[in-house]
Amino acid sequence: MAATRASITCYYDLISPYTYMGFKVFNRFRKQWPNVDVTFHPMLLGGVMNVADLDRISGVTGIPFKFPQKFPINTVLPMRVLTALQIHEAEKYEQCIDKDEYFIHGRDISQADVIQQALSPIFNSNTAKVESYLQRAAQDQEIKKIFKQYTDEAVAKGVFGAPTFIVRKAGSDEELLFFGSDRIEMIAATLGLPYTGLTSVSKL
Amino acid sequence: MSARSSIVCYYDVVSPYSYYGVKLLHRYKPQWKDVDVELRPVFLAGVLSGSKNQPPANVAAKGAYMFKDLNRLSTVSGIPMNFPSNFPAMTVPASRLLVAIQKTESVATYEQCVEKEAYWVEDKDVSQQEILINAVAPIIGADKAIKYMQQTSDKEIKQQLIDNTNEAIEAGAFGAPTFVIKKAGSDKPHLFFGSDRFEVITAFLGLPYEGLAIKASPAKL
Repeated sequence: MAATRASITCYYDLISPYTYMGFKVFNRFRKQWPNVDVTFHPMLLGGVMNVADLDRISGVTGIPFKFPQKFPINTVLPMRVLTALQIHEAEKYEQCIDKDEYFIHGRDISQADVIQQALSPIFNSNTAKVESYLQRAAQDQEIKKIFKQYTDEAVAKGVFGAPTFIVRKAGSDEELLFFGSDRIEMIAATLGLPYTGLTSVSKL
Repeated sequence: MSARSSIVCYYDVVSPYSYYGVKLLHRYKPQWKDVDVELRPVFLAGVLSGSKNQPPANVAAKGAYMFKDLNRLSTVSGIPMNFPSNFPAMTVPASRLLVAIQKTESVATYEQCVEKEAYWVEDKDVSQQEILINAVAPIIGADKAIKYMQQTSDKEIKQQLIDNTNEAIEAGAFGAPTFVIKKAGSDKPHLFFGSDRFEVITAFLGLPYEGLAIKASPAKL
């Protein structure tokens, strides 16, 4: 049954610098799009990176970016943590994706202690709670299954990299796939949404 | 070192995103008074192999996606596109022809020839000499069209295409379209890849840019 509101589902992998940049930019523009339903799905589909390009986009948009010394790292653990959070902590989930640990501070987010430090402020320093999600991510078969399912689902829909946005117009069942942090203008045009350009991002 | 900014666009007729890159440059160039823009033909397969890259369509999901992306770009930008039935065509003859034309004709005439829509709208087989001659003849006349077509067998013309291609590779290109930008008063080249980098390029050079969507008549979505 087609939804009456337009929707954008964002597929992300924490390892992808373009996902970091794309999501930061996307979340700024999103403030201008109050009538669109937005969801974030974790998946494991990495991708390519071009540091000079990302540095320039950072310069134009004002979104801070520093390519990490340790690259690549294995992001399965933090991705599974986010999978668990998406299910059990819907309210805090997006804040947890939006952390700057890796692409600003260069911290190794494959490490449990780094994840703990990153998330505990969001959970009011409830380190036990964060620890429980870390445990679940490492051991819970259900979480592993769901995360793998997200990736398989993404591939079945034609997703080949991160970030990918799957868009539905209001009143339509059709899924339109947009790949890349540089397709936000096209997404806005497709949904008839305002797009004020990359140079406006620093003011949004 | 130039007192003006410059944009060199390395393109191949076979590349759909190069088609958009060239068309977008054409649209915006009149607003960019103090920028030197040059379209330089390259052999894309050479750029890909020289940079150890693959064409995007080698990944099945990417190829399928690309087709949709290109059609949507057309709708949003108002730039016509009709994906050719014989993609990818062998475009070395076309590239050599454009090299020959660029060597002798004015910039304006050369650019008109680059912007012919024989491949990306009219779905013509641009690997064929007859087709190429007929494409440029309305612009430069049949005699010149034939003359330049004959020149494509000349060592000098072949070498120029090779030189352009090597230049692009040395600059760091790994695909097309690739833009090498220099700011006014600076010799430092900056490489941008993709027809989707106009926002960043124009911010970098301090140029006006209104986006993909044509303002005059909003695209029907």
